[in-house]
Amino acid sequence: MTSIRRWLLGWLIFGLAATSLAAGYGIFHTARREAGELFDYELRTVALSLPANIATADAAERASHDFNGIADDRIAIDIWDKQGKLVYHSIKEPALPRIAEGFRSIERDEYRWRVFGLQQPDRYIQVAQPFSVREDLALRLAWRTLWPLALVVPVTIALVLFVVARGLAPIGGLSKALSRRSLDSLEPLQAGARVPVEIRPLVDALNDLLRRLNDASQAQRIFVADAAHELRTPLTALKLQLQAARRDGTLQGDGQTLERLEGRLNRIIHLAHQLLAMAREDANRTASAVPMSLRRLAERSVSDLSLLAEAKRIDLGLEERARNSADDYVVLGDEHSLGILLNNLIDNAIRHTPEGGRVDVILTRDAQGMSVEIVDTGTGIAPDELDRVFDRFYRGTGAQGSGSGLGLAIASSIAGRHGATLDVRNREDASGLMVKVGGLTAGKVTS
Amino acid sequence: MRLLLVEDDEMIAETVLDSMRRLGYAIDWAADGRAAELSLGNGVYDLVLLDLGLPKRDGIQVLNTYRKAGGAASVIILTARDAVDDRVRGLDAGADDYLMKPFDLDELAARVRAALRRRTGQKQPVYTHGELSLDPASHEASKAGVPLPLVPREFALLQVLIEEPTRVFRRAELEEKLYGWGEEVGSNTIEVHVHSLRRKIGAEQILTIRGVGYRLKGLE
Repeated sequence: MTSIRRWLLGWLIFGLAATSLAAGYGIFHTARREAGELFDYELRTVALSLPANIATADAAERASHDFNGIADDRIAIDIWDKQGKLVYHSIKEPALPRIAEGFRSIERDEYRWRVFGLQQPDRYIQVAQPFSVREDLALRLAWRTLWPLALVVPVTIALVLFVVARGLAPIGGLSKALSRRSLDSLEPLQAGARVPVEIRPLVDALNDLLRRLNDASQAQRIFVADAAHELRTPLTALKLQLQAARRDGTLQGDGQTLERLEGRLNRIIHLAHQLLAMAREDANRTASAVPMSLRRLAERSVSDLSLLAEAKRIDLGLEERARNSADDYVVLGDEHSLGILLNNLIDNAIRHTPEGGRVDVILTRDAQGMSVEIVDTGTGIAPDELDRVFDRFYRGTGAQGSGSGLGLAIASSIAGRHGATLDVRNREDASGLMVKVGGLTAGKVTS
Repeated sequence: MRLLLVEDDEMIAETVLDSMRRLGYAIDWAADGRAAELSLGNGVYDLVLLDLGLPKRDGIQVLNTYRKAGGAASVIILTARDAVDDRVRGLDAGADDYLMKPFDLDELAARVRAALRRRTGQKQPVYTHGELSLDPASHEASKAGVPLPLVPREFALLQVLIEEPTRVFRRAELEEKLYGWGEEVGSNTIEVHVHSLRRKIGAEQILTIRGVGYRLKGLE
């Protein structure tokens, strides 16, 4: 993965380090060379300014020539007279051999010396200084020149880190805003005035895309709703005509055929109904969260579907994990949508449970919030089909009856809008399916 | 009894007109909002079956104008719109009942009967449901023609159930309907009444909807 931040930081810091090293190297060497020249100049000055009547010092007072950093004695001076006799020698050690005029570097007894010879009318002066002393001083000087640079480097790195972080903050904010959005929210990004001009086109393009996507999905929803709506009128006419014709005997045929015909018709009507419900669910992207009793809702759904259950001799009932008839299981939700959700799930369970079976609607209250389970004694769903059951128009291979294939898709959409989970799995204790709507937000009773 | 059907779909209209006439009602037909307003101007109708999605004038508008002009006929809305607020709007505009398309002819006939009964303040009808029948006026109940010896609470319970035979009544609702304010009701009183009523009319006649309440058994 490429990262702008890593790339910026990497190159800025690496580049800074490299140039600092090069600059440091250059400064160090220049400083040393300059120091060398300075010392040469000093030697020459000393030689030129020696007084003519310099007295011969006592040899005992002469310092050792390793100087030990004593600045005063860091220079050895020898003076010869016209006859070539050594008349002055400033240190204990024997004098250095007399060398030609000008600057020379010589080696003697493991010491390297810088020597300056000067011929004057009545004497020859030779001034020498050990390299070790010069080097020491030169190094110290070079280091002193360098330390501000050493201070500048960490400060600059800190500055780079800060600037890069600040510079990339709007991008970070944008991606955070994007990731915080709910999955199917197509609302435009609220970019505010602080978005930098470089990112503005990105935000605009994104908003434009979102708007077009929103328009497209809205158009699709409206189409589905309109189509389902338009289907209802002819379906009503057909159903009424069929019923009337059967009643007055104008439609002849054996009872079973007519029964089947009406069954098929009811299935189309159910499908149109579900399509409309789905389009409506898709249009409602946020659930209104009003405190409502999950128990009342479940009671109503069970009541509504008890006729269907009775016709299949299915024992449909409402249960609760912890028996407490005073608990209303108040949740925050949209009553109409949750009603559709429960009806769909219970309807599904009844459709997939053979005659004489049992369907339980179970209310529970746990750490995740309120939940309601619908447990049936049907055949369950083949494991490899379990993850496809939420697909629209997916009907299991063994599905019989008049399902539209939309029930679970609608239920899942409603559960999602309520921030709840919809969990479908086969029962472990017996044959059958268990559908659990979990994590509904518990609400407080108002009133 | 004179009825008006306001419906723009010819196929639906034909069938509804036919079956209503077969049931002995005089019924006229208006195919759009304008025609409906003209017909309603006559003031001769007792009941209006009103479709909401009408050409020329919306059904809700028609209803609003009609009610404002003092029209007093019962109005049953027939519509393909099923959003809750549509229903609320219809009832707010002065409709008495609301029937969703597609509906059953039987259901329509029942609603029409109920609306006309409410309207004419007819004396309480004799309720029948399957083999059961109950006459609130004479306080008599029978099963397959055989009189049932019911004590008052049992009779009241059966009356509640038979008035709305497809509805499930919660225990708390039954308590409210059978007992007045301030009357002490034991925790399983309703169960006791249901039990004794079942003994007299047959246990299979009253279904227990587990966790919810009771309802009369279905007819089919």
